[in-house]
Amino acid sequence: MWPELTLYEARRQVEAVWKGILQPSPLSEKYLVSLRYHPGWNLETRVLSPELKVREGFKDLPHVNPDGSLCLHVMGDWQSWMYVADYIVPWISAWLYFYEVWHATGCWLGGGTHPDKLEHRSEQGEAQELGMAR
Amino acid sequence: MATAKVQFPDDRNTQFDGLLKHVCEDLQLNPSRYQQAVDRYEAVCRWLESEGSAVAAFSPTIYPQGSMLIGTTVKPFGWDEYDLDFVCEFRLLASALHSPIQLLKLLEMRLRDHEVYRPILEVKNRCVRLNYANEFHMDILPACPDLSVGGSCLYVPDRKSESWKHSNPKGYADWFESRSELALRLLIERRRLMAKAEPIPPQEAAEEKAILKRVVQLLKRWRDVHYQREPKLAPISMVLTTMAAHAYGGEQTVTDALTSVLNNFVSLIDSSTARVYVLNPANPKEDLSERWNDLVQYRAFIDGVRDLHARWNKVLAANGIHKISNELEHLFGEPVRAAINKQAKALQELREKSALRVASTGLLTSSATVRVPVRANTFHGKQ
Repeated sequence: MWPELTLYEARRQVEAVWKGILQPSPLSEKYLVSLRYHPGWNLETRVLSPELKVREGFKDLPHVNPDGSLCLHVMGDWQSWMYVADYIVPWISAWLYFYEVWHATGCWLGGGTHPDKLEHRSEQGEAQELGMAR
Repeated sequence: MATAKVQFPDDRNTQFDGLLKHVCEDLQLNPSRYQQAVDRYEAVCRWLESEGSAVAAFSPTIYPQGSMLIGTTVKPFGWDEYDLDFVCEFRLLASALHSPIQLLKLLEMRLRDHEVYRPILEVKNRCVRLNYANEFHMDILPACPDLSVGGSCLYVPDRKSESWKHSNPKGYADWFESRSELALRLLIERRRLMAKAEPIPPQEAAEEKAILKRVVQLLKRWRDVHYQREPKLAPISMVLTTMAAHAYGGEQTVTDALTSVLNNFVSLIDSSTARVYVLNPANPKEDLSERWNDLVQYRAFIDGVRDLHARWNKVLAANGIHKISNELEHLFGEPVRAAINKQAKALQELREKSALRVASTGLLTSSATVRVPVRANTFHGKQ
């Protein structure tokens, strides 16, 4: 299904790691991403290269966990019986697209929830669109 | 314009061209402002024709000329008042007036009789300007037919030299239109060779004809940005427009057309031992590039074009929306971000309607041939 994505390492019953290259739009860069899946536990997505950068004038990357993995979904969007490829890969692409747009414009236009949006708003006027909750 | 279906194409050229077209939309006079300008000049015309007007006997007619006539308006850099040019043609013989300035005076005096026009009127070298604050200024150029040449040729008064100058705005617009239609003509020819009978839809035909106009808008915008600190060194619109129209080879995308126009500019500069001459196609005796007799002006032009050419090639080679946006902003300024925003909003709209799909390379697209949909999710904040 995803020829750009290869199963990189699978320790039986412990975890599976996929790595692959994704390009979210024809004008976008190509990104090397990894998906780490622990059955019955969690799913972790990272961008390995090029390195994600914080936009000038901002403190943090939007929709990224403190450990640097991407916040792609909230509880209920994805459950362990769902195919990783069909659900998660498109979300990574969408995340990467909005990440580039955020760098270009200073606005996160991909929607989502943002628990710390008030902190962003008070400290950075430019970040007002970051927390456009749906 | 018909309400276009929201799309997110998956090929680079279409995406890139979409971005440039959004930039141009942002630059041009929007339809309501356009209509407002039409209403205003029609009102001026009624005032000139009405009873008690000293010029009514000369059957004045007013029509747009320049960028408004050929569809290449560009919003001014840094503020919001468009420059719109009009011709006010009087049916009278130049020889019947004792001086060219008398024609300027006739127009000015009649406009001064109107309580709305009086306070916003300004007299210029070849025209009378009406300043509509925060909207546009209308430059009205009085003219009378040049019967020695005929056709749409005009005489216009020049205050400084106290003489008549030749002009032919309609002839210029006709020439420009014929250049704009090049892509459409090539398309029709290709279809004829392929024995395709169905006609080209009007919307598509209009878009084909608009390619050169978009290129001219981008060149004019680049000029305003590039020479913002030395506006006196900036090449005039008429020179850029004429050069672009000559260089245009009927390319069907704005990207390809601008690339070919810039390549042509650079090779023209390189192959010219003296300076480049840009003559008015509607009056070959008129050297539009007269200012380039001053070497400082010409040097500023060729340095500018070489810089634009190099930067444009960098834009074409860039990967990453943010990197492309950054390079384009150097050239065209703030409308670039607005264009990126429009594209991103279109993608988000598709995503919210569950109409967005993803190809195996990760490419997001509205193309229905791609199987995997992007399912609903909510990007979460920090944990």
